[in-house]
Amino acid sequence: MSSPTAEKTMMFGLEATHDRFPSLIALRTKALEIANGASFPTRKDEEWRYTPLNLLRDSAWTPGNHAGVTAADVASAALGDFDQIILVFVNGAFSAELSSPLENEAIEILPLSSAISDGKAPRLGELAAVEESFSPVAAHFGVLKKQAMHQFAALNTASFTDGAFLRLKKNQVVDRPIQLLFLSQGANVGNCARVYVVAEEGSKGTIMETYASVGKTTQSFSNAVVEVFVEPNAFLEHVKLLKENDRATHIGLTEVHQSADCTYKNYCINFGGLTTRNDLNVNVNGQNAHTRLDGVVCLDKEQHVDNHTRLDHAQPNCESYEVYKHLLDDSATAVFNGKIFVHQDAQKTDAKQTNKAILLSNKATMNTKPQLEIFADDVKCTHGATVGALESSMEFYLQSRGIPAQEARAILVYAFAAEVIELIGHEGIRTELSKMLFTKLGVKQ
Amino acid sequence: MLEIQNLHAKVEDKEILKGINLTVNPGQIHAIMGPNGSGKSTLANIIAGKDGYEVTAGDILFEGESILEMAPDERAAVGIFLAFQYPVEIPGVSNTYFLRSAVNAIRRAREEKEMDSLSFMNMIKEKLNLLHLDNDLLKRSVNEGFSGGEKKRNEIFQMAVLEPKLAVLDETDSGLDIDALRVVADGVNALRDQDRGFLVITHYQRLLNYIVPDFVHILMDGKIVKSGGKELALQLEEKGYGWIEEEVLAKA
Repeated sequence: MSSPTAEKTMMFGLEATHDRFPSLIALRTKALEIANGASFPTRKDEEWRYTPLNLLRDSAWTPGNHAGVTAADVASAALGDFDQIILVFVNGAFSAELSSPLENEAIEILPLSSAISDGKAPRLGELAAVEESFSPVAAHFGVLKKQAMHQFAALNTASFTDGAFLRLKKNQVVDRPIQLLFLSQGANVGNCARVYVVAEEGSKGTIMETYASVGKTTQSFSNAVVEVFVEPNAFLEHVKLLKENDRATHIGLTEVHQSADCTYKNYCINFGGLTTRNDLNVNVNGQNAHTRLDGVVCLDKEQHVDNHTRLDHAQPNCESYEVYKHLLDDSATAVFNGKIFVHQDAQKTDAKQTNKAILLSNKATMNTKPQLEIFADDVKCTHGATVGALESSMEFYLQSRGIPAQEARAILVYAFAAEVIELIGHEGIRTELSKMLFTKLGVKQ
Repeated sequence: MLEIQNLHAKVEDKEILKGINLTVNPGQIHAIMGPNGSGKSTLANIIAGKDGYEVTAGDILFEGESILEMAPDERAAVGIFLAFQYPVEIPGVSNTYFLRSAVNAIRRAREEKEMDSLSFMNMIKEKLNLLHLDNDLLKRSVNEGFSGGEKKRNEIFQMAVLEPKLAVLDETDSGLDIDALRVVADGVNALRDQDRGFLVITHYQRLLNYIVPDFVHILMDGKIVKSGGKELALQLEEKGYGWIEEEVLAKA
């Protein structure tokens, strides 16, 4: 079964990028083998059962060009208005002119290509430091390789052209969030972005990925891999916002490694796209670590989002909370698959998982599968799932106070989803996402 | 202002109200008392327009117009308010947002100008002071995690903000200790005036020690079987509902 699969992995001009990073040739050759060797996922694969990828399989994809995106496009695509550092990527290529200045005392920010390529780092004087930070990059790529990674991650490793390298420096507090804005523009563009984040010991900050479409983008495909390392005592908030147009396909893998005594909070905000698949894997490898994995899915028309989360508690005395909320209108469909593994050594784990869905139309569909596997005997673990319509008692209560039915429903669905957004610590991001949700649902502010 | 005429209603196939006649005029407080299952809450819910009840005969007029075909929000806009027996918790919606939406929805329905935030907040603060309530109430989600007493106080607060012409209080005293009961009653009394009518539904007489009614009606098996002044409530307190049942049976 070589031909269709092999052809599909060539779709991003793989030959051209193959030698771009000489130090990664061995890794990328291996990744290409994995990508080529795997068959394209179909609905017969349990992990892809509810997510059709026909469009992805049957379309031709090109890397697209990087020109023509303006500051105004960035302003309307990025989540604003708050003090932040924005890195802009157009069809996978970093745009220095559209991005904020990258110099920052508390955090090292580089386009990934600069961090990897010898002599191409923007600050030549610090090349040694870049090289030093690169060696863990290579080591960690190796970590990802060891996972039974799905073929899209392998495709990314084999063919990414750029991305971001963020290093929150030891004991530094980064007040301004770093927003990585990945834009797709043009017809049938496809690209792979790669992001590498280290929150060093005792650091604190907020990072955000935003995926958006520009202008007359027709079909697009973004295939992202984000690796996050949270070192002891670090505190990292991580927001992923998907607001691509309704012809976009997104597949994203986020692989997180947590050390002892650290906090990692991930918020996955799905407001767009035609077909989206998010895999979020969190490996809790140290004691007393805190984890939050929260998500909002707000879809209509024919939109589809599949959130797979996997949390591995490998060490004792950790707690994790996970809340995913789904609002589905028209013929929208969503999948939630939440796996929590509590390994044998992970005594005193406290893990709570909830996922809820409100179906606003008869044609909307929710597929939910909480999956707890517990191998330790002294743990507290709960999970729950609800799927339903709006509660009529709430609707009547609002109506009895003079609020017309339609507005009452909008307020209630807003409140349902906002509960997750309100958990976000960064005020600017929280406020702007609330506004987006208000607008999306047509609620008066 | 409120005229209930020969009202018959059923829930699913069960007839609950079997011909109620009642008129409430501006400035009056009417109490409706009755044993459990007599139809008190059904009457309150039908006035407010809750789904699930079928009116099989009769009518409810408010200021001369039938309200039976009106949606609950339209009834609120003409000035009808129901204080719920079990106020609903709405996580994620702050009291301020909720009340502002309500006030402005009613203003839009009346073709009045919406209130800007400053005048709205001033008005809200004034009402909080009137009822001796704490500012914290505004930021909290509607009724979420409220104690029974807090929920009922919030109902009265909403009533104060919305200034209805007719307020229906459905077992507002249920589940309250005597202190909470007094706070709620003080709130109602502060809102008494010559233009506002009240329909106070209660199982027990004790609320009526604090909210003194002009008329008391006894509801049994879907009908008002006896009406009188405030002394009727005291008689009930003393003798229970049994003697009225006997009286009704004797007449039949």
